Amino acid sequence: MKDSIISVTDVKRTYKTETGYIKKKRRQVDALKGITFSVEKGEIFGLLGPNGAGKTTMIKILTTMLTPTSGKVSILGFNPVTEMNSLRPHINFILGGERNLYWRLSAYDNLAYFADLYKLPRHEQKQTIDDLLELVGLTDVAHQRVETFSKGMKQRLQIARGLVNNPEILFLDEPSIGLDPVSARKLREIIQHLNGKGTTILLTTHYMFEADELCDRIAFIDKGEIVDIDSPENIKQKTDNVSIIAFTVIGVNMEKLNELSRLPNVQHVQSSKQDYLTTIKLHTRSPQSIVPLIYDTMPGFVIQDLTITKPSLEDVYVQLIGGKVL
Amino acid sequence: MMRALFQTIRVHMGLSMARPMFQFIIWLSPLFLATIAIFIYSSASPEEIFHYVILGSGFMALWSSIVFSSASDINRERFYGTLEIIFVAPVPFVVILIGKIIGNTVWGFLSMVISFVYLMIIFQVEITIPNPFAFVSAIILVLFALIVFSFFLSLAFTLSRQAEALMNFIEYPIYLICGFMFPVTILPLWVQPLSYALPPTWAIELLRVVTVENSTFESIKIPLTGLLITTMIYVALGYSCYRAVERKARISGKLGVY
Repeated sequence: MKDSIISVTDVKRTYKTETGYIKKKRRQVDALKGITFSVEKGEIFGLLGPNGAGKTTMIKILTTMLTPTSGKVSILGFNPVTEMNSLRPHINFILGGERNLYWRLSAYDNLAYFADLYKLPRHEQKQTIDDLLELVGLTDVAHQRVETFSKGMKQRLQIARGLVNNPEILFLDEPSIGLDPVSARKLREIIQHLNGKGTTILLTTHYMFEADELCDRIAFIDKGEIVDIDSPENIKQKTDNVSIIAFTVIGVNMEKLNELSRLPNVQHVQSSKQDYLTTIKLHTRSPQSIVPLIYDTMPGFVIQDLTITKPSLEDVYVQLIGGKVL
Repeated sequence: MMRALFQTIRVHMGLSMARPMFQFIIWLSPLFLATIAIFIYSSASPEEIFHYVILGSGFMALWSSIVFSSASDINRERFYGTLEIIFVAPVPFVVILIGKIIGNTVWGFLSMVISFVYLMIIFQVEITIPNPFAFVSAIILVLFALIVFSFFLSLAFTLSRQAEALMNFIEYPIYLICGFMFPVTILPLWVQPLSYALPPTWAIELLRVVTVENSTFESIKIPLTGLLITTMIYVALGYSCYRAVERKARISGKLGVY
């Protein structure tokens, strides 16, 4: 059995906010409502959930930025609230987006400065920085100012920054947000490479295929609570032999979608509209009997690209957490 | 730790100078301030010119560099998105912040020197320092006091958004309240307690006293004591603000909120 190097037990986090000057209105938001999970050494663990689910709050607690309101957290045997100074040299984190770097410094100078802040011995610094720049494919632009970089290059430099102290655990908060497909793939390769070298990774993402490809286990988190936690394969199997019938139509209205949701054996209907095309997904255990009914329900509509597939992680996510569900 | 401090000074000096506004504050602003001061005091005695033109305009240059750098450094890091990263680095945040303030103060001191040199070359103002050792010692103490005061300001402006809005407006009131270009004693009586509660008032007074011909320890004692006491008070206030910022960051979770 592997060792748990992150252990989170019944963690709650409440934010209190005030608005107004004379007549102050106080509001309390429960960002985390009793989260429990553990991460094993060498794992890639994903936290998935919609905006405002509590993912970033959880990452901030784990990286010593924030204290939990209650509950117990242990990382590498350290308490991040009381033993943060002992913990910090062993971990690092990368936030999504293109900020979080000094744009007016070169890539090399950024890494050299953060290496100093992580107390990397001077004799190791040059080799480490050269290796990191090579890992993220920025050797040729090492001495260019970051402000001249593309978003993907900045993201890769952030990865390098997060590795200056060779962390045992790397926290990634939506690392591929806003990246083009090629840069996102390169990022996933780097994450897999790091994991291959033994780095434990905890990441949050909105991209289900990314979580499916990278994560050993994932936790779905919604409204501050864990909805499910398992390997992607096991989670997909939990849909209990449900199949997804997906097709696109032009000009479908709400009334028609309601009719589809009332078809026998249809558990769930999702729809997403892009320009004039609407993609509809029906979750059902008996797809062969439903297909003819779809055509009967939608006379006069041109039904295109109809497929029957097993549910993806995204379908499971939508089923568990929501989305545009009828 | 010391390496991180020196690297922070070096990196921060580079980052500050990359800002066009800061370049103006350091290289050009002292020339305007010195010119205004010399025209105002053109018929004054050499001693008054030294005290209120050279030291006064030099101090204004130094203060401007503090207002437009140290006072807003934490908020600038927040804007860059690097605040959270340096906050959780193994090197204590206080070391990084002090490194930044020392870097800004070095630039501010350079700005002060530019003001001196400009007045000497362009306006042929004579600078005579009767006791160079006392003057250099006083300068070191003054810079230390201003670093402490900047540390307090940087954290105080971080704690309150209302205070942050004041940041850009405190440049000129401090010129006036601390008597950079005239003796504080000519200010209305009700303003003077505020003047004496601020280290820059005692700092410039100390520099004036140590540059008086035949100055004695007795004459230096009052501004020196005043500077030491106010500096110690601001050390305590700065420490309290630091703890409050740390608490606010980790408990209210507003570290990265701009």
